[in-house]
Amino acid sequence: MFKYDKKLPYPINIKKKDLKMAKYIITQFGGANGELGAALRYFSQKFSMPTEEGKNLLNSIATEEFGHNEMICTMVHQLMKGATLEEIEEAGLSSMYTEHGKGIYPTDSNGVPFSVTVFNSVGDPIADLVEDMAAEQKARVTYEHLIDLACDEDVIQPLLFLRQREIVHFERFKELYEKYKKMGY
Amino acid sequence: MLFEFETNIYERPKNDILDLDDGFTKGNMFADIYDEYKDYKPKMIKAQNEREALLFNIYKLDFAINDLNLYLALNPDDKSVYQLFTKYCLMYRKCVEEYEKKYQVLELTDDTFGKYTWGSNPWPWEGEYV
Repeated sequence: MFKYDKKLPYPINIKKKDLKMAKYIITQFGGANGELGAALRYFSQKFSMPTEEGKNLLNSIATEEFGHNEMICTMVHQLMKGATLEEIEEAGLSSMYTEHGKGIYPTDSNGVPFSVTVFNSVGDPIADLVEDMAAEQKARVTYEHLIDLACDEDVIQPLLFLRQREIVHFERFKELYEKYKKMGY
Repeated sequence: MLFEFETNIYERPKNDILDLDDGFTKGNMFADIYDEYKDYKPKMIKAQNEREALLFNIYKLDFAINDLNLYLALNPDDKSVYQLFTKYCLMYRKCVEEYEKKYQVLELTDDTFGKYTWGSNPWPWEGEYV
Protein backbone atom coordinates (compact mmCIF):
# COMPACT_ATOMS: atom_id res chain seq x y z
CA MET A 1 0.00 0.00 0.00
CA PHE A 2 0.97 3.60 -0.25
CA LYS A 3 1.00 6.23 2.44
CA TYR A 4 1.09 9.92 1.75
CA ASP A 5 3.61 12.19 3.45
CA LYS A 6 2.59 15.83 3.48
CA LYS A 7 5.82 17.01 1.88
CA LEU A 8 7.68 16.97 -1.43
CA PRO A 9 10.97 15.18 -2.14
CA TYR A 10 12.56 18.60 -2.80
CA PRO A 11 11.11 22.02 -1.93
CA ILE A 12 9.39 23.97 -4.70
CA ASN A 13 8.43 27.58 -4.26
CA ILE A 14 8.20 29.35 -7.63
CA LYS A 15 7.28 32.99 -7.27
CA LYS A 16 7.47 34.05 -10.92
CA LYS A 17 4.64 33.11 -13.27
CA ASP A 18 5.88 31.56 -16.52
CA LEU A 19 3.26 29.93 -18.68
CA LYS A 20 5.61 28.86 -21.43
CA MET A 21 7.77 27.00 -18.93
CA ALA A 22 4.64 25.36 -17.51
CA LYS A 23 3.76 24.17 -21.03
CA TYR A 24 7.21 22.58 -21.42
CA ILE A 25 7.51 21.07 -17.94
CA ILE A 26 4.14 19.30 -18.08
CA THR A 27 5.76 16.75 -20.41
CA GLN A 28 7.64 15.32 -17.43
CA PHE A 29 4.22 14.41 -16.03
CA GLY A 30 2.43 13.08 -19.11
CA GLY A 31 5.07 12.82 -21.83
CA ALA A 32 6.85 9.74 -23.21
CA ASN A 33 9.88 10.24 -20.94
CA GLY A 34 7.96 11.57 -17.97
CA GLU A 35 7.61 10.59 -14.35
CA LEU A 36 4.13 9.08 -14.64
CA GLY A 37 5.36 6.58 -17.22
CA ALA A 38 8.39 5.90 -15.02
CA ALA A 39 6.35 5.29 -11.88
CA LEU A 40 3.87 3.01 -13.65
CA ARG A 41 6.65 1.18 -15.50
CA TYR A 42 8.57 0.16 -12.37
CA PHE A 43 5.41 -0.39 -10.37
CA SER A 44 4.16 -2.85 -13.02
CA GLN A 45 7.50 -4.55 -13.57
CA LYS A 46 8.24 -5.20 -9.89
CA PHE A 47 5.81 -8.11 -9.87
CA SER A 48 8.07 -10.18 -12.08
CA MET A 49 11.42 -9.41 -10.47
CA PRO A 50 12.91 -12.75 -9.41
CA THR A 51 15.01 -11.82 -6.34
CA GLU A 52 14.69 -9.73 -3.18
CA GLU A 53 17.12 -7.17 -4.61
CA GLY A 54 15.02 -6.69 -7.74
CA LYS A 55 11.68 -6.52 -5.97
CA ASN A 56 13.10 -3.99 -3.52
CA LEU A 57 14.83 -1.81 -6.13
CA LEU A 58 11.89 -1.62 -8.55
CA ASN A 59 9.42 -1.01 -5.72
CA SER A 60 11.60 1.67 -4.12
CA ILE A 61 12.27 3.54 -7.37
CA ALA A 62 8.59 3.33 -8.41
CA THR A 63 7.64 4.89 -5.06
CA GLU A 64 10.22 7.66 -5.50
CA GLU A 65 8.88 8.39 -9.00
CA PHE A 66 5.36 8.93 -7.64
CA GLY A 67 6.86 11.67 -5.48
CA HIS A 68 8.56 13.16 -8.55
CA ASN A 69 5.17 13.35 -10.25
CA GLU A 70 3.97 15.53 -7.42
CA MET A 71 7.04 17.76 -7.87
CA ILE A 72 6.38 18.21 -11.60
CA CYS A 73 2.69 18.96 -11.07
CA THR A 74 3.59 21.38 -8.28
CA MET A 75 5.94 23.24 -10.62
CA VAL A 76 3.29 23.51 -13.34
CA HIS A 77 0.65 24.58 -10.81
CA GLN A 78 2.87 27.32 -9.39
CA LEU A 79 4.07 28.52 -12.81
CA MET A 80 0.44 29.04 -13.89
CA LYS A 81 -0.81 30.60 -10.67
CA GLY A 82 -2.74 33.80 -11.27
CA ALA A 83 -2.50 33.59 -15.08
CA THR A 84 -4.94 35.76 -16.99
CA LEU A 85 -6.74 34.63 -20.16
CA GLU A 86 -4.59 37.07 -22.11
CA GLU A 87 -1.40 35.53 -20.80
CA ILE A 88 -2.70 32.05 -21.52
CA GLU A 89 -3.40 33.05 -25.13
CA GLU A 90 0.01 34.68 -25.48
CA ALA A 91 1.78 31.51 -24.29
CA GLY A 92 -0.09 29.43 -26.86
CA LEU A 93 -2.05 27.61 -24.18
CA SER A 94 -5.58 28.42 -25.33
CA SER A 95 -6.33 24.91 -26.56
CA MET A 96 -4.96 23.45 -23.32
CA TYR A 97 -7.20 25.92 -21.44
CA THR A 98 -10.20 24.81 -23.51
CA GLU A 99 -9.71 21.19 -22.48
CA HIS A 100 -8.46 21.52 -18.92
CA GLY A 101 -8.81 25.10 -17.70
CA LYS A 102 -6.00 25.64 -15.20
CA GLY A 103 -6.25 22.06 -14.06
CA ILE A 104 -3.28 19.71 -14.04
CA TYR A 105 -3.62 16.98 -16.64
CA PRO A 106 -0.95 14.53 -17.84
CA THR A 107 0.05 15.53 -21.37
CA ASP A 108 3.30 16.14 -23.16
CA SER A 109 4.31 19.70 -24.06
CA ASN A 110 2.29 19.48 -27.29
CA GLY A 111 -0.87 18.68 -25.34
CA VAL A 112 -0.92 15.01 -26.34
CA PRO A 113 -2.45 13.07 -23.43
CA PHE A 114 -0.45 10.49 -21.51
CA SER A 115 -0.44 7.02 -22.99
CA VAL A 116 0.53 3.80 -21.22
CA THR A 117 2.03 2.65 -24.51
CA VAL A 118 5.14 4.70 -23.61
CA PHE A 119 6.26 1.73 -21.50
CA ASN A 120 6.00 -2.00 -21.35
CA SER A 121 6.28 -4.81 -18.85
CA VAL A 122 7.16 -8.14 -20.39
CA GLY A 123 7.79 -10.40 -17.38
CA ASP A 124 11.47 -10.83 -18.21
CA PRO A 125 13.86 -9.05 -15.84
CA ILE A 126 16.60 -8.56 -18.44
CA ALA A 127 14.27 -7.06 -21.05
CA ASP A 128 12.49 -4.90 -18.48
CA LEU A 129 15.72 -3.62 -16.93
CA VAL A 130 17.16 -2.65 -20.32
CA GLU A 131 14.02 -0.61 -20.95
CA ASP A 132 14.39 0.98 -17.51
CA MET A 133 17.98 2.01 -18.18
CA ALA A 134 17.00 3.59 -21.51
CA ALA A 135 14.03 5.33 -19.89
CA GLU A 136 16.24 6.93 -17.24
CA GLN A 137 18.62 8.25 -19.89
CA LYS A 138 15.75 9.70 -21.94
CA ALA A 139 14.29 11.35 -18.87
CA ARG A 140 17.74 12.79 -18.09
CA VAL A 141 17.98 14.33 -21.56
CA THR A 142 14.46 15.76 -21.28
CA TYR A 143 15.44 17.42 -18.00
CA GLU A 144 18.50 18.87 -19.73
CA HIS A 145 16.30 20.35 -22.46
CA LEU A 146 14.09 21.88 -19.78
CA ILE A 147 17.08 23.27 -17.86
CA ASP A 148 18.35 24.82 -21.14
CA LEU A 149 14.98 26.55 -21.59
CA ALA A 150 14.59 27.72 -17.98
CA CYS A 151 15.91 31.01 -16.62
CA ASP A 152 14.45 31.15 -13.10
CA GLU A 153 16.57 29.65 -10.30
CA ASP A 154 13.39 28.50 -8.53
CA VAL A 155 12.73 26.31 -11.59
CA ILE A 156 16.29 25.29 -12.44
CA GLN A 157 17.19 23.95 -8.97
CA PRO A 158 14.42 21.32 -8.73
CA LEU A 159 15.09 20.34 -12.37
CA LEU A 160 18.79 19.79 -11.57
CA PHE A 161 17.78 17.65 -8.60
CA LEU A 162 15.41 15.55 -10.71
CA ARG A 163 17.98 15.16 -13.48
CA GLN A 164 20.50 13.75 -11.01
CA ARG A 165 17.92 11.26 -9.73
CA GLU A 166 17.65 9.85 -13.26
CA ILE A 167 21.41 9.29 -13.27
CA VAL A 168 21.31 7.51 -9.90
CA HIS A 169 18.40 5.31 -11.00
CA PHE A 170 20.19 4.43 -14.23
CA GLU A 171 23.26 3.31 -12.25
CA ARG A 172 21.18 1.17 -9.88
CA PHE A 173 19.23 -0.47 -12.71
CA LYS A 174 22.51 -1.14 -14.48
CA GLU A 175 23.96 -2.78 -11.36
CA LEU A 176 20.90 -5.00 -11.05
CA TYR A 177 21.01 -5.83 -14.77
CA GLU A 178 24.66 -6.88 -14.47
CA LYS A 179 23.91 -9.02 -11.41
CA TYR A 180 21.07 -10.76 -13.23
CA LYS A 181 23.23 -11.36 -16.28
CA LYS A 182 25.84 -13.01 -14.05
CA MET A 183 23.14 -15.08 -12.39
CA GLY A 184 22.11 -16.37 -15.80
CA TYR A 185 18.77 -14.68 -16.32
CA MET B 1 51.30 -15.60 1.67
CA LEU B 2 53.36 -12.59 2.60
CA PHE B 3 51.09 -9.89 1.36
CA GLU B 4 47.38 -10.02 1.24
CA PHE B 5 45.38 -7.20 -0.26
CA GLU B 6 41.77 -7.11 0.69
CA THR B 7 40.80 -4.29 -1.59
CA ASN B 8 41.55 -3.52 -5.16
CA ILE B 9 42.97 -0.01 -5.20
CA TYR B 10 41.94 0.50 -8.81
CA GLU B 11 38.31 0.01 -8.01
CA ARG B 12 36.36 3.24 -7.59
CA PRO B 13 35.51 3.81 -3.93
CA LYS B 14 31.92 2.67 -3.51
CA ASN B 15 31.26 4.18 -0.16
CA ASP B 16 32.34 7.72 -0.75
CA ILE B 17 29.19 9.12 0.81
CA LEU B 18 28.39 12.83 0.81
CA ASP B 19 27.09 14.62 3.89
CA LEU B 20 23.40 15.46 4.32
CA ASP B 21 23.64 19.01 2.92
CA ASP B 22 25.83 18.20 -0.03
CA GLY B 23 23.93 15.03 -0.91
CA PHE B 24 20.57 16.76 -0.91
CA THR B 25 21.86 19.73 -2.89
CA LYS B 26 23.28 17.45 -5.56
CA GLY B 27 20.41 14.96 -5.50
CA ASN B 28 22.78 12.12 -4.80
CA MET B 29 24.50 10.66 -1.71
CA PHE B 30 27.23 8.77 -3.56
CA ALA B 31 30.05 10.98 -4.80
CA ASP B 32 31.08 8.63 -7.60
CA ILE B 33 27.65 8.73 -9.28
CA TYR B 34 27.28 12.52 -9.32
CA ASP B 35 27.28 14.02 -12.80
CA GLU B 36 27.24 17.78 -13.22
CA TYR B 37 25.25 19.32 -16.08
CA LYS B 38 27.21 21.90 -18.09
CA ASP B 39 28.36 24.56 -15.64
CA TYR B 40 25.18 24.55 -13.57
CA LYS B 41 25.94 24.55 -9.87
CA PRO B 42 23.18 23.24 -7.64
CA LYS B 43 22.63 25.64 -4.75
CA MET B 44 22.02 24.68 -1.18
CA ILE B 45 18.46 25.46 -0.11
CA LYS B 46 18.23 28.23 2.44
CA ALA B 47 15.64 28.27 5.17
CA GLN B 48 13.82 31.57 5.70
CA ASN B 49 12.71 30.79 9.22
CA GLU B 50 12.81 28.26 12.03
CA ARG B 51 9.94 26.21 10.64
CA GLU B 52 11.60 25.86 7.25
CA ALA B 53 14.93 25.02 8.85
CA LEU B 54 13.40 22.09 10.68
CA LEU B 55 11.39 21.00 7.64
CA PHE B 56 14.46 21.12 5.40
CA ASN B 57 16.31 18.89 7.86
CA ILE B 58 13.47 16.40 7.43
CA TYR B 59 13.77 16.72 3.63
CA LYS B 60 17.51 16.07 3.77
CA LEU B 61 17.19 13.07 6.05
CA ASP B 62 14.32 11.60 4.05
CA PHE B 63 16.34 12.02 0.89
CA ALA B 64 19.46 10.41 2.35
CA ILE B 65 17.45 7.48 3.70
CA ASN B 66 15.86 6.93 0.28
CA ASP B 67 19.14 7.11 -1.62
CA LEU B 68 20.98 4.84 0.84
CA ASN B 69 18.06 2.44 0.53
CA LEU B 70 18.56 2.14 -3.24
CA TYR B 71 22.18 1.21 -2.57
CA LEU B 72 21.30 -1.18 0.25
CA ALA B 73 18.72 -2.89 -1.98
CA LEU B 74 21.65 -4.18 -4.01
CA ASN B 75 24.23 -4.32 -1.18
CA PRO B 76 22.27 -5.45 1.88
CA ASP B 77 25.40 -6.70 3.65
CA ASP B 78 27.24 -3.38 3.65
CA LYS B 79 27.40 -2.82 7.41
CA SER B 80 28.79 0.71 7.38
CA VAL B 81 26.13 2.02 5.00
CA TYR B 82 23.44 0.26 7.00
CA GLN B 83 24.80 1.90 10.15
CA LEU B 84 24.51 5.33 8.54
CA PHE B 85 21.04 4.45 7.28
CA THR B 86 19.98 3.51 10.82
CA LYS B 87 21.39 6.74 12.22
CA TYR B 88 19.49 8.85 9.68
CA CYS B 89 16.26 6.93 10.26
CA LEU B 90 16.42 7.64 13.98
CA MET B 91 17.26 11.32 13.36
CA TYR B 92 14.35 11.50 10.91
CA ARG B 93 11.84 10.19 13.45
CA LYS B 94 13.04 12.74 16.01
CA CYS B 95 12.84 15.68 13.60
CA VAL B 96 9.39 14.66 12.33
CA GLU B 97 8.12 14.37 15.88
CA GLU B 98 9.42 17.83 16.76
CA TYR B 99 8.05 19.42 13.58
CA GLU B 100 4.63 17.83 13.96
CA LYS B 101 4.34 18.98 17.58
CA LYS B 102 5.32 22.55 16.70
CA TYR B 103 3.83 23.12 13.24
CA GLN B 104 1.93 20.62 11.12
CA VAL B 105 1.32 16.89 10.93
CA LEU B 106 3.23 15.24 8.06
CA GLU B 107 1.87 11.71 8.40
CA LEU B 108 -1.81 10.83 8.87
CA THR B 109 -1.17 8.41 11.73
CA ASP B 110 0.52 11.18 13.70
CA ASP B 111 -2.60 13.36 13.73
CA THR B 112 -3.24 12.64 17.39
CA PHE B 113 -2.77 15.95 19.15
CA GLY B 114 -6.42 16.30 20.25
CA LYS B 115 -7.86 17.87 17.11
CA TYR B 116 -8.23 16.68 13.51
CA THR B 117 -5.78 18.71 11.40
CA TRP B 118 -4.77 16.44 8.49
CA GLY B 119 -6.71 18.56 5.99
CA SER B 120 -5.17 21.85 7.08
CA ASN B 121 -3.33 24.13 4.66
CA PRO B 122 -0.72 24.47 3.35
CA TRP B 123 -0.53 21.34 1.20
CA PRO B 124 2.88 20.55 -0.29
CA TRP B 125 2.10 21.97 -3.74
CA GLU B 126 1.15 25.39 -2.38
CA GLY B 127 4.69 26.66 -2.13
CA GLU B 128 4.54 27.85 1.43
CA TYR B 129 6.50 25.69 3.85
CA VAL B 130 7.05 23.26 1.04
